[in-house]
Amino acid sequence: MMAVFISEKDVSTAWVAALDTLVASGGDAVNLTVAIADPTAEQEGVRQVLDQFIGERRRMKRNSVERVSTVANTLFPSAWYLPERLGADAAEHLYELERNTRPVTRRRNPRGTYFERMVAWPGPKKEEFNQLDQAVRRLRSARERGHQRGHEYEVGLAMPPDEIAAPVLVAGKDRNTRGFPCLSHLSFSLLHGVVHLVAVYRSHDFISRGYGNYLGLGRVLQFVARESDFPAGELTCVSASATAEITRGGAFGYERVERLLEDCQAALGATP
Amino acid sequence: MANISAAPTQLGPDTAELAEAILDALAQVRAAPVGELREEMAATGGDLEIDSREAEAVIAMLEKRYSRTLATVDDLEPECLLSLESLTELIHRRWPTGHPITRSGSR
Repeated sequence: MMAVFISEKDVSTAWVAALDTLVASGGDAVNLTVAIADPTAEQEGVRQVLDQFIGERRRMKRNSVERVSTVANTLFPSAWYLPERLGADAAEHLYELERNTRPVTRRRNPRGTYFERMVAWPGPKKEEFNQLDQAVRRLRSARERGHQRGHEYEVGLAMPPDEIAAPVLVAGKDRNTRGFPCLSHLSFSLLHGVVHLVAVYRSHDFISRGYGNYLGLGRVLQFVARESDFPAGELTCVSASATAEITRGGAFGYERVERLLEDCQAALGATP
Repeated sequence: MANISAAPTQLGPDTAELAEAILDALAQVRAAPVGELREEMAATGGDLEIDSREAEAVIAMLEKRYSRTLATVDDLEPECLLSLESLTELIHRRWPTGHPITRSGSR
């Protein structure tokens, strides 16, 4: 199956539509592009169905699949970001907790987390660079200058000090053909005074990771928008290679994946 | 975020001291007064739901404070870190109270 474009209102609806498309096409697709208008919004029923599926899998074999909340946390640990309580100091609190907790986090994630790559990107001389902070500073500057659009900041695979972009994959270091990091790049854009985010995955397991990835990326977008005082816009996620994990990834089998999809569609249908 | 105080002397903390240290660390993660957490605990029957990343941050703070490893990879599975009570049990299990600390800080 060739490139597919899906546009939906929230994480749950978009994820179900994407999974439906993948299953209908035999399980796999290339260049699957999913746009989510509000990537912080979910349909509770769909989340419950997916949590239950993953919970069953983890009870059988704990390492076989991660919980949705765990996947989202690797992209953005929302429990560490407390803007209502800390105001202007919230971002520094978040960064400090990441730095101090990193030795513990790395026990489960020896190669680091996506969030670590965003806030402590390993430079060529092993110096750390906070890409999220850079994106926020650039956007704040745009705001102070009264800019409502920011195409001039957006240049594909830029080095982080120069652009509002956040590479995740480190050339020369990330040589695994599978596994971390599947997320290669983040790119923020400003248009009509609204911040949008594009994320590029080289490989995307849709049941094990997809839903949590969308949620986590939505939180990253919300963080950058909030810290730069712009409204958060749309998340667009491009999966160069996507799988419904029928035979690949978690290899859940056609019947089980189809049943999961039907249960999620029923949950969506039951949503008022 | 304030720093945790320096490591104690030769003996590990007793149960009450460890529970206090855990609550103090959680308060720092949540940027909240300890009293607020106590009130929340009282209102919810003595325990607190926590996020697994909050638990990791608390463990990191205590490991720094006591200069010892308090959680293995298996301990860090999210199912093990759902509440303050489960976190406290985990740390107690890894560090039976009253056991001496060597000069390097680990047993």
